[in-house]
Amino acid sequence: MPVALTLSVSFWSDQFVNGLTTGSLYALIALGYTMVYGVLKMINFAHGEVFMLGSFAGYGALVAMGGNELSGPVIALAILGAVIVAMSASVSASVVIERLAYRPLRGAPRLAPLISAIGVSIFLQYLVLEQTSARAKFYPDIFPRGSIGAGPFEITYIQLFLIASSVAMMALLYAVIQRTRLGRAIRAVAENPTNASLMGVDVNRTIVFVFILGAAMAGVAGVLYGLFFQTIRGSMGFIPGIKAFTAAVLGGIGSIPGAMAGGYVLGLAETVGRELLNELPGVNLGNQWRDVIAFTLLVTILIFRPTGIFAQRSTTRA
Amino acid sequence: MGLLTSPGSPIDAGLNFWLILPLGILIASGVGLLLGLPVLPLRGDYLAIVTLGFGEIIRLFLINRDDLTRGSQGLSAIPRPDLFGFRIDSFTEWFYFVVAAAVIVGFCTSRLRDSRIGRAWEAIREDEDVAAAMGVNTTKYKLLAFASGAAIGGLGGVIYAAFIGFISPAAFSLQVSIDVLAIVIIGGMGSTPGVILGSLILIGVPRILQFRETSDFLANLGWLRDGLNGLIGAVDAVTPGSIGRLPPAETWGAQIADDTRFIIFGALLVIVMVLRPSGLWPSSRRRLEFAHDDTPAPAPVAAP
Repeated sequence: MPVALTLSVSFWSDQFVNGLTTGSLYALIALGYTMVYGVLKMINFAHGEVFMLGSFAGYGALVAMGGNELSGPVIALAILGAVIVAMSASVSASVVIERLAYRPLRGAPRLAPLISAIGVSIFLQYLVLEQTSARAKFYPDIFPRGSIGAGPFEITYIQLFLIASSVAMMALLYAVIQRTRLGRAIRAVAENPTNASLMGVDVNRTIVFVFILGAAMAGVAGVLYGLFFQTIRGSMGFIPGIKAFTAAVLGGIGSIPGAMAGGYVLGLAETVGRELLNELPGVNLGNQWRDVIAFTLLVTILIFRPTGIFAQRSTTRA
Repeated sequence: MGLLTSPGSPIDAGLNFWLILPLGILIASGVGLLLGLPVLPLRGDYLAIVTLGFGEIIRLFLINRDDLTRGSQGLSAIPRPDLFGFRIDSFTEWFYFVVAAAVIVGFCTSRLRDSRIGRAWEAIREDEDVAAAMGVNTTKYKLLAFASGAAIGGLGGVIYAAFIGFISPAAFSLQVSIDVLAIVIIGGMGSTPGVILGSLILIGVPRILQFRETSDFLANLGWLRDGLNGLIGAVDAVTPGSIGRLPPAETWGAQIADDTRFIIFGALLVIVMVLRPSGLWPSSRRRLEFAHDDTPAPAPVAAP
C-alpha cells in the first residue's frame, strides 16, 4: 500500500545518511560483543567502556598534538595518530580486563562473568567520571566542514569519512577472520573450544586475540564518535554499548557479518524508521524516542527471534 | 529488577498514604506480571539484558510522557503517612517505620521461601526442565516470582517516595540499581542475612564517612596528604600534562562516600566474583552451587 510521504526527498536522504553514520558506529562496537560472545558465550558488558576509553585516549592525543591549532594536511596525520593511540588504549584496557576479571571465571556459572563485567563497566565509568569531574570534554573542531552530493543526496565530509573508515576497518577485520591462521583459530574456538584445543589451538591466546580485535574496533569507533559528535563524557559508553549489543543480537549474536548488518539496521531504524512512524497519523516521536525504539527492537528480537533476523542455521545456544 | 520500582510509585498528591501503599504494590505486581509474560521463555543472560531493556524503556517512556509524570521535573509534595493519628515525620520515626517494613517483608519472604511456592521456585532455579518434569507448573510459578518481586519493589518505591517527598523517573537512576546490585552480589545472592549485611556495609560505611566526626579525624592525616602530593608532584614533573593533587584530608571521607563509592563498588563486584562468588554471607544452597567451580564445566550440548 503506497503511502504518500509528506516530507521532501532530501529530508529522507538526510535521514538515510544519518542512519548510516550512527549505524557504522554501532556496527564497529557490535563486532566486539559478537566476537566475544562467539568464543566465550558471555556478554562483555565492559565493552562500551572500552569504547569510551578509546574516545578519551584519542581526545588526549589530539589535544597533545595541538588541538584546535591544527590545520592543513597535518590534520590527517593527527587523526591517524589519534586513532592509533585510541586503539592501543582500548586494546590494553581490554587485555587487562580479560586477564583480571574474566579469565579467572572461565568455567564458573555463567552469571559470574556477567556480573564481573558489569563491575568492570561501573568501575571504569565512574573512574573516568571522577577524573573529569563528571564534565564533558570536547573534541578539537578540526575536521573540514562542507559536504558533497548530487541532487537531493548530500553527505558531509565527516559523515563520509566516518562511514568509509568504518567499512574499511570492518573489511580488514573480515579478512583477518576469514583468511588468516589466527582467524581460523578464532572460528575454531567459537565452534567448539575443546575440539579446537585438541587440534592444537591455544585457546587462551585465541581468546585474548578476540578481545584485542574487538577493542581495536571500539577504539576506532571512539575517535570517530568524538570527531562526529564532539562531546564525550565518562558515561558515554553505556547507551552506545547497549545499542551495539542490540545490533549484535539483531544480526544473530556470534555472527560477524550479522553484527555489521545489525548495526546498520539499527542505525536506520532509529532515524528513517522513526520518521516513517511519524508519518502515521497521530504519531509524533521526537529525537529522544530513538533510544526507546532501539530498546523495543532489542526486546522484541530477543523474545521472538533470538537467533537474529538473518539467522539461517540454528546456533548452539540455550 | 530494582528498576521495577519506578512504575510502583504513581502517587497522586492528595491521596492517603495507606491507600496508595496497596495500590502501588498492586500496580507494581501487575506491571511485573505483564513484563514477565513475554520473557518467560528466556533464560540466563538474555533474560538479564531484556530486563535491562524494559527498565530503560519504562524510564524513557515516563520521562518523555510529561503529561503523566511532569518529565524529569518529577512529582513533589508527596504526603507523609499517618499511623493511627500519629504522623511519621522525623528522621527517627522514619527509621523505625522503615525497619518495621523491612522486618515484615523479611518475615513474609522467609515464610514464602519455606512454602510450597518457595520450594517450586528453588526447583525451577536449580533446573527448570527437571522441575517441569516433576510436575511443577513453571509458567505459573515464574509469573508469580515476577509479580511478587515487583510487589516488594513497589512497596519500596511507595515508602521511598513518601520519605523523600519527591519522585521523578530520573531519580530511579542507574545509581540506585548499582547500589542494589552491589548489595545483593557482595552480601550473597539469595541470602537474606547476606543482603542485610551487604546493605549495612555498602550503605552504612559511606554514611559514616560523611559524619563530621570522621572528617575531624581525617583532618589529622594532613601529613599523609602532603607526602602523597609530594609523590604525585614528582611523577607530574616527568610526565606531560598535569594529574592534579589530592584534596584536603578532612574531605576524603565525603569524597569517597560521594564519587569514589561507585568506583569501589565496581572493583568489589569483580573481586567478589573472582575470590568469593557466593558473597560475604552466602545462602547454604548458593555456596554449594559455586563450590563446583573447580570441576571442569560440562561440554556444551548442541541444540537439536
